This record gives sequence, structure tokens and C-alpha cells, in this order.
Amino acid sequence: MSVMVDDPSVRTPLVLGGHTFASVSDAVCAPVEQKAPKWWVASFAVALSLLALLLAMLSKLVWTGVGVWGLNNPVMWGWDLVGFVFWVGIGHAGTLISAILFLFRQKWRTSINRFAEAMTIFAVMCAGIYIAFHVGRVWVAYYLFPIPNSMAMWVNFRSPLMWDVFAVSTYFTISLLFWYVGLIPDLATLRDRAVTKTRKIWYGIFAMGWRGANRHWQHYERAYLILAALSTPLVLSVHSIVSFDFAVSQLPGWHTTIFPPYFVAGAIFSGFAMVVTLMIIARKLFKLESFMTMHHLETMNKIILATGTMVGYAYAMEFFIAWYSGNPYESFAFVNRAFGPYAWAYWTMISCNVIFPQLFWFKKIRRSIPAMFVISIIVNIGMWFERFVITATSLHRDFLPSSWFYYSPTWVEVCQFIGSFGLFLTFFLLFLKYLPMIAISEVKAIMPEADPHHHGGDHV
Amino acid sequence: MSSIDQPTWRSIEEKEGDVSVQPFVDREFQDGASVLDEGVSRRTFLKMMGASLALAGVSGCGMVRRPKQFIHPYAVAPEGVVPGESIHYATAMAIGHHVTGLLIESHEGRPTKVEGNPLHPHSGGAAGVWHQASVLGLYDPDRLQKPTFKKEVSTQALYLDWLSSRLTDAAGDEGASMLVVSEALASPTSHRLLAEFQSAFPKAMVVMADPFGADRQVGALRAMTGSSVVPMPRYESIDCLVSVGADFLGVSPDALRATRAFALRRQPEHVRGMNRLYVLESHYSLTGTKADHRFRLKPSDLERALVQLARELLARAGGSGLLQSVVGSLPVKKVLPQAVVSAMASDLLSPNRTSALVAGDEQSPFVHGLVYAINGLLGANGNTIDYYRFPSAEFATSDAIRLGESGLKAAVAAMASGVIKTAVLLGGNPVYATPGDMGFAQALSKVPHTVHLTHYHNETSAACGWVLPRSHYLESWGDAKALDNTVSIVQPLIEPMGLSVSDVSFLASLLSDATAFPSDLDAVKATFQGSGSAKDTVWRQWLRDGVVSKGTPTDVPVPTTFPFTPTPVSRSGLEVVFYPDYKVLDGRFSNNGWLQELPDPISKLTWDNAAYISSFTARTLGVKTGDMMALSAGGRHVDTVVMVQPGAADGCIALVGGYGRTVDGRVGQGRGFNVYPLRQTGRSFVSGATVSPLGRTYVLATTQQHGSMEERDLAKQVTVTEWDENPHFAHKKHAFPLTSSWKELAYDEGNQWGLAIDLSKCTGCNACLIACQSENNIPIVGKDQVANGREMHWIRLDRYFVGSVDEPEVRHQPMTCLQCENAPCEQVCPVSATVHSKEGLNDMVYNRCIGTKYCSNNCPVKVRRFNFLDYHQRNPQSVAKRRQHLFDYMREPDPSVQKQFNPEVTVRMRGVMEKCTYCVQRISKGRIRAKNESRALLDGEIKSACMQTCPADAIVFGDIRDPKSRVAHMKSNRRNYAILEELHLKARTTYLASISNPNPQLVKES
Amino acid sequence: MSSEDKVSMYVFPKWVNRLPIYFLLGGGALFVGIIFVFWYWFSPKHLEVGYMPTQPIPYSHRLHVSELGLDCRYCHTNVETAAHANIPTTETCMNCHSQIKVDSPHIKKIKQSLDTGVPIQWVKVHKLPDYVYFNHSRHINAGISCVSCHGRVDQMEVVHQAKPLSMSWCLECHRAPENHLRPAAYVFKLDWKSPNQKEMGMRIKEAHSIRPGEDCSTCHR
Repeated sequence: MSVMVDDPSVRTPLVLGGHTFASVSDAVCAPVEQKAPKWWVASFAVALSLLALLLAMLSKLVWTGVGVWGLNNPVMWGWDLVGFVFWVGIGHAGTLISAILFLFRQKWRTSINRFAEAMTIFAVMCAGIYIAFHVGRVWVAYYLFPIPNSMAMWVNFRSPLMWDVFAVSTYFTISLLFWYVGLIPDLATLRDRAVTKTRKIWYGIFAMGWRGANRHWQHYERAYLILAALSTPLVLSVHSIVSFDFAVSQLPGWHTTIFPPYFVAGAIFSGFAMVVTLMIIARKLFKLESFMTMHHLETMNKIILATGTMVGYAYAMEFFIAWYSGNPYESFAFVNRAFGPYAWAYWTMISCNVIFPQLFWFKKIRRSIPAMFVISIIVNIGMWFERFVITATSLHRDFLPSSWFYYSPTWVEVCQFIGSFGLFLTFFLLFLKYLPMIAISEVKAIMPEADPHHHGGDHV
Repeated sequence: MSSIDQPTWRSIEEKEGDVSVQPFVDREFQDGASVLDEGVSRRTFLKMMGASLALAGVSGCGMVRRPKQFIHPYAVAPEGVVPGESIHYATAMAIGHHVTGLLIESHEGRPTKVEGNPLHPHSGGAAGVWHQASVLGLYDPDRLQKPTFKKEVSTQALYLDWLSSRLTDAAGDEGASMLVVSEALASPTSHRLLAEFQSAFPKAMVVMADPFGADRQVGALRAMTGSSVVPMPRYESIDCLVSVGADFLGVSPDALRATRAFALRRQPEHVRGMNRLYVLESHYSLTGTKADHRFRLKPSDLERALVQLARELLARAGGSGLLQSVVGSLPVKKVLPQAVVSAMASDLLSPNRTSALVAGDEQSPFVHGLVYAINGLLGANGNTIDYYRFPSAEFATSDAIRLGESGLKAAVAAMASGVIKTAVLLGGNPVYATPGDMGFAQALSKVPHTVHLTHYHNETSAACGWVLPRSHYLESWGDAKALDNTVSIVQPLIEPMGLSVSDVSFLASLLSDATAFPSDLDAVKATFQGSGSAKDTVWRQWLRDGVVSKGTPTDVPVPTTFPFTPTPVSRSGLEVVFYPDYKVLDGRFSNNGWLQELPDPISKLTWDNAAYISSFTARTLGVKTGDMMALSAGGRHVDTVVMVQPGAADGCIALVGGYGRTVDGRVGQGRGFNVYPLRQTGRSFVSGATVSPLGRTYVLATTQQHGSMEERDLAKQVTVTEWDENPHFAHKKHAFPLTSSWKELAYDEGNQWGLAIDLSKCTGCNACLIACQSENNIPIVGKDQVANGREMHWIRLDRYFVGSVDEPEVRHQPMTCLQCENAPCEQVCPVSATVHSKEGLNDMVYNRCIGTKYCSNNCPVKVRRFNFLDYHQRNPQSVAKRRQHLFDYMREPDPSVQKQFNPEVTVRMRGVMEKCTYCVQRISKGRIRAKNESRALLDGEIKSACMQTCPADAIVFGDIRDPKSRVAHMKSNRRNYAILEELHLKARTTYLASISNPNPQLVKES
Repeated sequence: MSSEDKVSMYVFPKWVNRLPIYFLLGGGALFVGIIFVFWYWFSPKHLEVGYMPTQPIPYSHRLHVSELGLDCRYCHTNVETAAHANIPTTETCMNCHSQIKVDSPHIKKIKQSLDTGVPIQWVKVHKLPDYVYFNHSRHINAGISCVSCHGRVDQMEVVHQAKPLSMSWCLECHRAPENHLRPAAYVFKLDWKSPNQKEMGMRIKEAHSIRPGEDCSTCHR
């Protein structure tokens, strides 16, 4: 049964290692219930120090001014917006996996969706930090919200940045709800298995009195379905709207109709890559290979390959349109990307995003842990550079040669970006330690035993 | 907002000896902590806003307000002062021998802005960069405040004791032991006093000289004709002009008059058609950028070329004896192609067209003499070139009064010989700014008793015993006689900031034995005793107009001899030319932040000077821009930085004076490199210089990194002939119709503001930039920030090189907010901090801006400026500040500097975007005045600061809906075009394409 | 299942089940509440109105205007011609008080100010943010009475701020000036009230074609 076959007539089993319902619970709850392993403590310490670095950089930024970054007159957005789009992109995989794959009844999602959703939420938090602190006067950033005020001033709904504020906050709220609702049955499981009072109380609070009653399950399924339906359009809208920040402006290299689909593809691309990176580590450290199977990884790699190719197509299409439009500024912007002062960034992007993922055509590489680990990381580096290329190279040389200028970041920008990983990791490690990283109930539902027509399994 | 406060005590009326105000005069300027009470809080608006926010937190109820704010009304209202309304006073500023009449805007007795005086022939309503920046110099906290003796703070009384003892000594030997070295003064009263001093001490030596100036030219003409005259070309009536190394549009303080007149003839619409300008020069000058034909020649070749031209002219015209005898004997070296020379000659001699040559101040006597002779041949003298008596020469009758470098040389000899016991130095900075081979410093050290009257502590005052603070022209009485003999009264706008002494009082004290400095007002009035100044009405009239009397030209003096020969040059090595800086001149303005940060009009370099060389020379020397090199000639050497300048002459290095100050204020000290040591006495340029790269590099902060226009049709220019063939060249056909996807606003009622800039007239002189800076409280950001592309200038002058690297043409394009009707910036601002006004302005609301910077990214011309840091507080002269709340800062502008701020414009804090709004404060002022008088606005009633000061009259602002307005008329011109029109911005600022007028023969040649 | 011996299965009482809904409602209410607190209590309407500092000299507008019948312009001379409505000079006070009540300690203070030239330090009452450029002359000449912004100063013993002077408050009038416009003759008559303000205001508005600016640059530069 544990032999891997690719005969389409036979469905690949999604849970290996001859698990029973009980053993599934045990296996998934183990990390939560056991004492934190050394590696966890160590990496949590690192994460915390990075988080401290982020806070230090933010304080310096607010105290001294945006001038601590390397931005200059033509290039008014740099690592700040790059970081924002980068994290929002990463924050894409989660909801896609949970919502869309759920609606498509992709059973294999079950053992990774929890994981991916958590990643989504934390990534969006990082993005939020960036969008909030890229402004010059963060203490009046509340002007961004349509709140009644004695100035009788309203926000400008024509501004893509305004749409961003709404899109991202909505996305965050829905993802959080979706994630939490999915957690409830498992929280209840943890509550019931709890051996100390405190654990019982805390998990109890968040389990919201779940008793697994039939009606509970009905409501739960209904709610989950609704949320999935709600968040499905968001998956597409969020990054489309983020892309409007660029597409709606009239800057050569930004003003492009292909941006929305191209950004969404890129986001899924980077999101899945991040999931793979994290999954490979988690499944090894928590010995969850039997839930996050090679089959899962391979499927994800296929998606990476597909989206990577879409992104490559978008790159090519941008160039074609730039040439085909006959717009001198547009065509210059793209020639300048490939051969201008920032050519190094452009070619890094191309090789990371278009060339390396193509290796996944080979089954061997698709199924080799080290290979996919490296490639998934390369992809995320590439996607960071994609955002950098779009933002910086378009800005640094636009219409009037007199205002052309070169932009390079300061240590503050760099440290802030590194620090944002601290924020992400801190939350993610806490998640790994205190919450079930696999949706126990859902996994059970896709086990053969859950099939009413199943025979021979031990009905406990 | 209350501005009725102590500063208002500094008004003319109060100045007339009301002692009661004295204590507040002091409190006002020494007590920095009282700034808040002094009503400057309008200028620190956002900090206060933060304060009130914080306060909202602390004070639960509304009945409290902290900090309490106070209002200080006058005790006795000065006549004519309306609190909150500004008044203009007329005065004049002299820079060396050059005088410009000015109108000074004053808010409650605080001079805030300098504008030109339309009644003054040298201004015509325009003011140059130095004049406008001088108001910042007035408030410069680095200026000397108290007299010092041997570095110890002392008193004026002690100085006067010392002086009287010196004078009694001098009386013994009829002043043989006395030496007075003064910077060039244009003040008749000073001249009178110096002459009187001279007659009182017949043997005393009086010298008047500037590092750069008209002296060499005047000297040459005196040597030839025996009379000290100075030529004043009437540029508006010269059809064909040859500049022989003359930057009459650029660095000359006389450039305002020249620019206005010259620019008139750059419009093809002019009744007499366009003029044609040939320029022979060694480095790229502003005048060169306007040339129809420019020839780059190293200085020695410049002289040869002139001889070549003279011969050609003689050959064609048949020549006057003198010229014939001069050039006939000279060897000929063809540095210009024969075709060029003959073309020029025929052009100059072509009948029924006027033509003239102009020689640069820094050229050799030989060149000046030759140019004078040639102008005689061309019939320009007395016709298109007027000659005026050189004002300074009128008192320099005795031989003991010497002008220019020769005078300095004699003074140095006298000091070195030890006969001089007392040296009185008035202004200037001879220790720093004299040629290295003169050895002024060593000679001065031999003089036991020295006094220096100076604005700043500088290299010279460091070497002097007594150092007296010198009064700024805005705080002292005086007078000024322009080169065209127009006389003006210099009236003070404000009480002296410190214990300073005006030039006139200082000189008068040399003649009196008083225990206090004589009144400068009395001395000036005494000068005009004869001309009816006794009558108070006359006097007041003079003060009102700013002009006492206009001058009349003298008869053209007849040249008798030609005592000059071409400058001897060594065959080997490079030649080095020196010219004063476009920003800090000879170094006298080096502590002025506005000028330090002003981009050089050609190289766009800020905060530094550099050695400009051609790319060919750079290749041969193996250096590139930013490399340090040691440049040595005549046994002395200077280290300086290379900057490759397209269009510089090969085999020649152009050095800029005024930098490398070792003793100066916090702004100017240690900027750039001192090149004076390389200069040689009596030489217009230095030859045989050698270069050795130092292997170090140096950061140069330029405001424009990319010089090419990239074949983009931005600053359009065609020749007259091309224009005749295709009059509508400026309007390009668009591949698709320019339409918006939504309904556009009509803007069809009320005033609709617009701006038109005539690129044909614009010389790129930067006057508009400083005008904007002083009008709109624009901060300086410092070299490191400029190097990072963060300068804050709302209007910038884009400079493009067109053509080859060696022989490029230059295009200037003033660029500021275009006030697009379809403004890309407006729709992307999430908080509506930039929106359109009914009158078509692109409003920028600083207090609403949160600083997303999106607007700038979407601005196609990148004219929006972001306050990345709080630049007013990072100014080297900022001071520690009392904090109000958490988000308040540690520093604020010096209280003295704050007094320059324009109270009508908010001072922006960090984190907000700012930009040009066509001087909306001036628009509001005019609109309200008109509404209160219930009438319509008149055309020209409202002038933006840039338009108001433009010497070329190239910028015109007004109501484009009024078909009779000047701006509407300009926009109806066929040359009118909108930049980046294809983006359908519907910009309110449009340009008139530039037209050049090359010689058809030469065009065929190339 | 030894764990269940230690910890009982049910740690929460039944009523806890109702908590979530309470939290939901309470949270929402709190959110709205906070916004309301800032919007109302932290607005100038609440923070500024009623500010009544003690002045160095207890000058009574009620006495001088209502009882003695001084015109506003006798002291605030520039209000019709300048942006700034000036506080009177010491001289102005002394015009009368050189004869009247000369021996009152406060008048002595004024006398002293005139002799020494030290201005009297009045406390600022009506303070607009520094980035707001208000022009008195424009409003007076358009027919906006002092009372519209300063209230019944003629009845104030001690001057206090009567109106919020907030942006929305300014806009109310800029968008509907007819509610405040009055004939020039009554601009300085603080006690005057039109029987039919709206209709009269409309007439004045048309007659003098008064179109108050609503652009940002009308007040902000």
C-alpha cells in the first residue's frame, strides 16, 4: 500500500504509515503537547532577535524620517513597496489552497491547508507593517480611513493606494476568520486531550464550547463553505488590486494591462514556493512525512512549474507589447530594464523565476527533497527581484532624462527587510508550537476509514 | 496669526534715534528662546499642530491651551506699518564696481525678499542670484557680531582710541606709513572720503582692488587713450555680436542689464530680427550656451584667433592706422579655419547691420586693446557701445590711489619693505584671494598694526590685529554709482544685527578724531549737499525711487598708442584660465547656503568647485570626473578635482575661484578647492601647467546626472531658416486623438492661471531658482543629500547637451510644476492632499499630506519635492530647540535665519511632499485686494516670483482666459508647445521653442 | 485516560456560552464609541470653544462697546484693510485714558507701557492653526459680521472663544454664505439680526456675486 504508483486509475493515498484515527490525533498533537524541542527554542530566540531588529529600524524610521532610507527624487518607492508586494504575494498561497482547492474538492489540500493559512496570515501582517510605515508621517496615517472628522475631509477613492488599504485589510480579516473557524474542532481536540488546567482553559476558550455534536458539525461545514466562497474572489482581487498601484499609474513599465493576472500568477508562484520551503523543514522536524507526503510536495511543485511558466510568459509579453505599442518611453523602459544600470537585477529575476523552475519538468527533481528545497528558495529570491525590477528600474529612468537617478538602499532598509522575517518567523514558530499544524478532523475525513463503504478498518 | 511683535521694532521710523527701543533691539536678536512669543510660530506650523494634538490628549477639557500664545501690539505704532502687510523699500546693492537697484520686501521691519527696482537701468525689475541671496546673508548668524582685537572680544571705543593713536603717528610722516586696501567700492561717498583721506595724508597709499573685475579692462583703455572709461554695449541694438571670452550673460554682476537687452533680440518676432552671437571661449560659459556659433579655444589661441579676425577685417575693410600697425607686425597662426574667419568677417562688416565685439573682464590688456580698436573699425564705439567714465577713477586722481592688481602689487611691495606701519583693510579677503606669487600674506605679516572691516571672520581677518564687524548693505546708509554713472542711495532696512560698522562710517572715522563712529547718514547727505539733498522732499524722492540721477556717456576717447603684446606662453604643458564662480563669485558669498546649493548652470555642480577639462584632455591626462589631481604651475600647486566638461577647450584647464576657504562660517568653510595660489600677478591666464593624478577620488554632488536628451523632443530648438520653412514645427501630430476616458472639467470661468516660458530668451541664469527659494521658504539640504538626489528646489533648470561630446550645444529648460489640468498626481493621492482648484492650480495641501510619495512617482516631470528629513533643522546653522511634545525635534533654524522666512508661506515639516503652486500666496493676495476693491484683476498685477525676477523676461504668468493678457498672447505664438503633450496632461505651463540664428555660410560649411 | 482524573472534563460554567455574542456586540460598540469620542470630544467644537484666559489687563468689551458704544474699528483699525485684525496699540488706549481713570492700577500699567515702550502682553484667544491663512478684510468687505465668528463680543466681560473655528465649521459658511451675509452697514453691529436672513443673504450674494472659495488653496498655502 505504501508503494507509490502513478496509475491514474488508482488514487494515491494521502495518508501513509497505516495511521488510525487515534494515531492521527496523537501524531498531530504530539508537537503541541510535548515539551518544546531544542531546535525550536534556538530558532525562536533567533526569530525574536530579528523581530527586535525590525522594531529598532521602525523606531529609527519614525524618529528620523523616511530619509533614513535610500529613496531619492525619481525613485520614491524602493525596498518598502518591494517588501510590501513580496509579503502580500507570499500571503497568497494559503487562501488559495484552503478556499479554491476546497471548492474544487482537492482532497490533498487537507494536510497542508492549515499550515499554508497560518503562513498567509503572518505574511500579510508583514505586508501591513510595510504599507503602514512607508508613509512620511505615520502619525497621521489614520487619514487613510474614512472616519468622520472636524475637517470634513474624505479620502480619495480614486487612488489605488486607497483600494489597497481596503483590499489588504479585508483579505486579512477573512483569512483570519477562515483559519480560525477551521481550527475550532482541533482546538476542541486539544482541549479534551489537555492534561493541565491552563491548557484546558485556554484551548477551551478558543474552542468556543465545541462538542462535536451533529449540529455543530452541520453549522461548521456550512460556515466553512461560506467562508471559502467569500475568500475565493479575494484570492484573485487582492493581488490584482496591489498590481493596480502600478498599473493605474502612467509610468512607463508600470502602466500595463497585463499586471493583474501576472501579479496573481506571481503571487501563487511565490506563495507555493514558500509553503514548500516551510513544509520540507516542518515535516522533517516533526516527523509528519506520513501526512505531508511526497505526493503533496510533487503536486505543489507542479503548480510552481505552471505558475512559473505563466510568469515567464508575462515577462515576454511585456516586452512584446512595449515594442508593439510603438511608445518610445515604454520601449525604452524595457530595454533599460534588460540592459540599463539595473540589468543585474533583471537577469537575476529571469534566471530565478523562469529558468530554474523549469527543472521541475523532470520527475526526479520534482520528487527530490534537496532539489525542491533549493529551487523553492531560489523562486522566492527571484520573486523579490521581480518586484524590485518593476518598482526601481521603472522609476529611476522615466520621461525626462534630466531627473534620471540611481537608487540604492541604505542599511536601514536592508535591516528592516531582514527584520520582517523576524516578525514572520516569531508568529510561525508560535503557531507550530501551540496549534495543530495539520487539520486533524479534515485529514481523518479523507482517510479510507472515513469512507462509509470502507471495510476492514478497525471501527473504534 | 500675530506678527505684531519685537521684530517690528526694526523699522526705519524707529531707527531715527528712538533710544527707548534699544533694549528690545538687543533682546530681539540675542534671545533665541523667545522665538515662540515672537510670533514666528506660523513658520513652524506642523510642530505646533503636533503640539495641539498632544495637548488634546492631556487636557481633558477645552478650556486650557498650552503653550499659551501671546500678542505683542506696538506701544507706539510706526507710521505706515500695517501688521501682517509687507512694504517695499528701494535701495541698491553694489558688487564690486557693479550696482543694481533693488526693492526690498519687508514684513514689520524684517527684510524678507530682494527684488529688482524697475526704475534702475541695471536692474529693470530683475535681481540676480547674488542680490536675492543677500537677504539670507543679512541674517547669517555666522556674521561677526562684536569687534575683536587679537582674537579677544573688544569694544568700538577701544578701537577708536587705537585708531587715533595710529593717525597721530601717521600724521608725523604725512601717512607714508599708512596703507588702505579696500575691496572695489562703488560708493561716491566712500570715494570722497578716501580722496579726503588721501589729501589729509598725502604720502599714504590707497589701493582698491577685487580678485576679478573691470580693472584690467579700464587699465587697458586708460593706457591706450589716457582716459579711464568703461564700455557699455547696448546689446538690444547689436545685430552681430562676437564675445571674446566674455561671459556677459553669466558671471558678470552686470548680467541683468545685458541679459534683458540681449534676450530682446533672441525672439525671431523682433522687428529688427534676431541677433547673431559668436562666442570664442576656453570653457563653457552661460554666454556660450546662447551662442549661434561657439569656438572653443585655449586662451593663447583666443588671442591668436582675435588677431586672425582683425587681419581679415582689415583686409576687407581697409584699416585704421593703429590697428593696421598692431596686427601687421604680429605673426599669424591660423587657429580658426579660414572659412570661419572670412564668414565672421563678412557677417560683421555686412552693411546696414550693426556689429560689435565684447571682451571678457579676465582677458589680457592685449585683447581689450585689440577689441577696442576693432570696435572702432566696425563703427561700434559710441554707436552701439557707449563709454562711461569709470566711477572709481573719478577720485583716483592722485598716483597714490591705485586701482586693481597693480595697486595690490605696489601695496605688497610697500608692506614687504617694512615702511608700512598701519594697514587698514576694508572688506575683501586679499590674503585668500590674491595671486599666489604676490605673497600678500607674508607682506601683511610684516605690518605691526592692522585692522580689517569684514562681514565674516576670514583668512585675512585671521591675520589682522583689529577685526571690526562690517554692516550689511541692508543695515547701513550708503550710496552707489553704477558703471553707467546712475547714482542711487543705499538705505537700511533694519538695525544692525551686531556692533557692526558701515563702510562709510568706517572711512569717515579715518578722518575724524571722534570717540564714536561718525554717522553714515550724515556722511552720505554731505556728499549730496550740492545736489539739493538739503530739501527733504528731494531726499525722500530719491529714497522712494532708488535712483538719484542717471548718467550720460562720455565722448569716445581716441586711442593714441597700443602698448600691448600677446601674452607670452610656454609651449609645453597646459594652459589654465580662472573665472569667478556663478554662485559664490570670488568667495565673498561662500557662506550663503542658497548659493552653495545652487547648481552651477553648466555643470550642475553644487557645494564645490572643480577643474573643468575637455574629454580629450581628460583622456590624454588619464583622469576622469571625480579624480583628484595635483595641478602645478610657476612653482606652486593646488590639489583639485577633475570634472569633464563637454565643450571645454582642449589643452586647457578652467579653474573656478571662490572655494577652498580655510577660515569661514559653518556653511562655506572647507567647500571645494582654493585655486588662487595658482594665479600669477598681471597674467590673465597661466601657461605651462602640469598635472599629476593623486589616485584619490572625490564625491561631486550634481543635481543632474544625465546630460543627453535621448532623442526626446523636450527642449525644442530650430534655426531661423528651418522655422521659416516649417513654422509649426513645435506642434507634433499625435498617432491617436488626445482624449480622456471621462468628462474633463471646462475651467471656463474666473481667472485661469497659466505660465509660458520662452526658451529662446532663457539664458539659464538661475535667478528664478533663488527667487523661488527665498519666496517659498525652501530649505537647503546639504551636499550629501544633493548627492542622493534630494535637493528641494521647486524650479530647476534642466540642462541638455546636444551634439558631439567635444562641440555640444546646450539647451536650458526651466522645469517646475506644470499645473496639469489632467494631473496624474492628483488621482493617486489616497488622502486628497493634492487636488485641483477652480482656477486651474494643482493645489498641494501640506497639512493633509501623509507622505505616501505616490504623487511624485506618477509625476511625469518629477517636479515634486519630498521632505525626506527635516531639512530646516539639519541646516549647519540650526540651533537646539525647546521641545513641545514627543514628535517634536531637537533642533530648529537659527532664530536669526527664521526672520527671513516668508510669513505668507508655510514651512513644511519632514514627511510631506511640496512643490510649486505658481506662488499661490501672491495670487491670493492679489485676488483679495481686487475683490476688496470690487474690481477685476489686471494683467501683470500678480507676478510669480520667477517671472518677477527673470532678467530675460522669459517667464510670463497670467490669466490664460483673458485673450489680452501677455501670457495668452505668448501661448498664441506658433512656437508655443506643451512638453510631453502625448500624455494629454493639458499642462498650464507651456514653452516657446528656442530659435537659433546661425550664419548660413557656416551652416553650409558644416 | 489518566489525565481526566487530574482535570475535570468541563472547566466552564454554562453561562459562558453566551459570552461570544456579548464580546461581538461589545467590541462593535467599543469601536464605534472610540471613533465618536475622537470625532466629538476631541474636536475643536469641544476642545476650543469657551477658552477664556485671564488677560494682563481686565479690559471689558461689554463696558466699552455696549455701554460706551465704541466701534470695533476704533481699536481694531486694520480689520477692513488687512488680513490681520490688529490688537490696539498702547497709544490707542491712552487716547482716552490719559484723562480717564488715570489712577487705576491697570491704567498705570498701560501708561508704563507707553513710557517704556514695552508692549502689553495680551493672551491670544482666537487661534487658527498656523497653516490656515484667514483674511479679516476679505470677510468684512464681503459682509460677514464679526459676530459670525467671534460671537457677541460686545456682551463679553472677558473675551472667550465662541465658535469652534474648525475646518468643517468654516466650510459650512463657505458653502452657504447667505446664512451670514449682511449689508455693510450692519457688519459691525453685533446685536443686529435680520428678520429674514436667508432671503436677504441670497440677495446680497447675487448683488455682489460672492462666491466663497472652496479650494484648498483658499486657506492653505
